[in-house]
Amino acid sequence: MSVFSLIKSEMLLVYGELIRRKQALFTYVAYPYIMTFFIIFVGSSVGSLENFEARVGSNPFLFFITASFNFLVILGIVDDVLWSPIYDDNIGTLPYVLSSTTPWFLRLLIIPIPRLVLTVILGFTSLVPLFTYLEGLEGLLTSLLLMGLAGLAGLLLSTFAILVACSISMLMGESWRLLNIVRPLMMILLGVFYPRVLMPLAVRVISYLLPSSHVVDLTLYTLVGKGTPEVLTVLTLLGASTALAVAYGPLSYSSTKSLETKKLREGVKT
Amino acid sequence: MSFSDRIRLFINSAKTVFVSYVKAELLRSKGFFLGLISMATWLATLMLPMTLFREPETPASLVSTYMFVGIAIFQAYSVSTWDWGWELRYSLFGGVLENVIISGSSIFVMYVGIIPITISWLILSLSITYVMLSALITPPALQIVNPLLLLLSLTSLMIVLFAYAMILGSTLIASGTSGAIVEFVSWILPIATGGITPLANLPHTMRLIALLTPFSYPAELLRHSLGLTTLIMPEETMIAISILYPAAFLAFSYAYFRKQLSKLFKEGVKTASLW
Repeated sequence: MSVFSLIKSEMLLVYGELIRRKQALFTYVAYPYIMTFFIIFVGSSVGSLENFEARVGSNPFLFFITASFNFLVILGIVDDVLWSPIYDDNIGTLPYVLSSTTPWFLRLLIIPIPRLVLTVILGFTSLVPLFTYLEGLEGLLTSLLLMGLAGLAGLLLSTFAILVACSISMLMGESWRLLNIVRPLMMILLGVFYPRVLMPLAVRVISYLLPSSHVVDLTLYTLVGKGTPEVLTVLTLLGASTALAVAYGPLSYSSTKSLETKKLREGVKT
Repeated sequence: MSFSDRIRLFINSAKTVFVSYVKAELLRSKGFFLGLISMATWLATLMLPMTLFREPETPASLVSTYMFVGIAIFQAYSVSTWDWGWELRYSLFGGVLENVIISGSSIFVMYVGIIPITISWLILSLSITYVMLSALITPPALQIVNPLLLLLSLTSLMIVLFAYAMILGSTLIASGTSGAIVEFVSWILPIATGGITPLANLPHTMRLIALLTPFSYPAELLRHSLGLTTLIMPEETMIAISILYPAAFLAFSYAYFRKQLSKLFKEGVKTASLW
């Protein structure tokens, strides 16, 4: 089966479910606004919007709608990849996945693409309206750039997410509760809501090892620099991010193979 | 059956509920601890950016303390929603509630058995929150300014949340309300009623709404007893309302609970699904 056929079939599956469950689609649209409201409302009770702007150098509404949008895009990737081995195990489709001619690793790489495409497009309902309203044409262009960056952040996280999912399954067994700790922890380490430059050194060092954290950082530079970060900064961050994503490739491939071997050896539990 | 026999039976039943929860949640399942860590991590993810709003002269420890107390109150609301209110629906779904009713035991047996679990859950959860805030910002500087007031506010908060759980639980067993709505209520309630934010910092209209509910008074008194906020009304008035309003709310919720229960007996269960 070709890669495109695989992507097409995953798309039909994901979008078909979303059309059936319109409530889920509505949640996707509403989430960036709900999170932005929650953080700004509670945050302004601790201090003020002016303090935020002085400290971060960006409009808090634009910052948090971007952060919430990045959160949605990245979480889509993380969830699809992390849950996949557990989901297949639980519903009994793992034997079919393993006996399929399509390598499991390739399947794991492809699974999150439909949701990634959808969440990035949903930037038209969150980033675009707010940026255009507050900053006009320049804001519109910035929001389009941010949508692209969010998509890239999600995409570059794939290999690392596969490595985490398979390693946890290998070492501790399939546990959705364990993954539910990994999900928010990853959001902290990526600096989605809290810039990593403000984190303690030890946390920052771990953050540097995550491919997408550099793209998230670039998002911040874009916001602070109003769409025009320095070329050297862009190249450094994109380069570091891509290099890390590629470097995790062989590791995530071997972890998938190891998990596959383990599953074949032990059999599927019911 | 004599009164003392009935009390003995009640205590024995509550003990059985407690033991079975300890075995199921604490000993057999790792989910209890993993769930705690997960919740603390999610809250830290959302609360961390709040520090970016603080005044330059406000020490980080004060913000960390604010966040700790805010998370503590939020988690108290959460246990009342999920451990107490939602538990009734969950028991109904699992067929446990039917057995409790048929056995002639009081439904409150379940609550008495669950409360020690809830308290240990809260203590553990707050310890994890403390560690997380210490690692990511700075350790919260908790100071008890007025111990008596702290005790009063905690008791008052407990009564309000128990009354709220009774209203929520009885509504859930007597109607077909879905889990998604409860999820929404569990997020909006602590924000709208001044659970997370000091009343003085709420916008005027929101403050008025918060003051109309019984939730705002114990939460505000709790923050005041820890020296984190100045009250928006005289202390004596706040104390009087914090005693009277929760008591009235508890009486109302009990009456409502009885009414919903008799409605359930008369009309049967509306839905048997969780979500």
